[in-house]
Amino acid sequence: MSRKLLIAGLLTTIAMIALGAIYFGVSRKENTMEQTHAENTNIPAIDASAPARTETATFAMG
Amino acid sequence: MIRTQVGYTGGTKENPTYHDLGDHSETIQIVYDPTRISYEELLDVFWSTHNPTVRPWSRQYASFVFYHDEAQRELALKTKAQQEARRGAIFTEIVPAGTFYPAEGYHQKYRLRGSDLMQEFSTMYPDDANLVASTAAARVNGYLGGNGTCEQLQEELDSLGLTFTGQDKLRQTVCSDR
Repeated sequence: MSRKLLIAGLLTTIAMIALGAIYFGVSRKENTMEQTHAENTNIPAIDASAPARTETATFAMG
Repeated sequence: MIRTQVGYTGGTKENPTYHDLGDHSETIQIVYDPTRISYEELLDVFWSTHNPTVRPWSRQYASFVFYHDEAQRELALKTKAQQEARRGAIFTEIVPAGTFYPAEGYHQKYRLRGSDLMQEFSTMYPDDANLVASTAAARVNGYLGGNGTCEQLQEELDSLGLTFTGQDKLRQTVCSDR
């Protein structure tokens, strides 16, 4: 009887640890996504619109 | 203007730095939208914003046009001839563009870095490389350097990513003396 109880207790503990890991993993991922979204919303509109074609010019002006 | 960056080019030394420039010159590289501004217009700015009639006293501060294709080479030569006809001897060299080495971060967006608005850009772009590549940062740096008009600023102010406080500061700086 006590052996069965011990096994049941162990299984419950493992299940709780697994659930905890999943919960915190998801929660952290959501936070990261929120931060990325927040950073993106700060990007100036002018930087978000790139022209189709660009050229480069290089000068030295003394 | 999409992007601006200062750096070193024209020489042979690999990975030059400001304190160890080798045979390079201090340069500016501009990435632009050719449907908004032409290379010839950029050359007009080039010829009118420095004095190419003075013999450079060092290669570091010489006058160069580094052309990226044949069309740029031809326009550079043509406008140099026009300048010579008007102003006499021109010491600008027109040579093919080689490897461009970006200058150290503290040289980039120099006016912006010295202003109150830098804090807002640091928040927008924690990574300095993104700040250097930013069109908004280039525009604001240009306005702070005395370029552009109040009307031009008003047209694009909302697109620069500044807070209302930042917008007011920039508007005051640009519109009070221009």
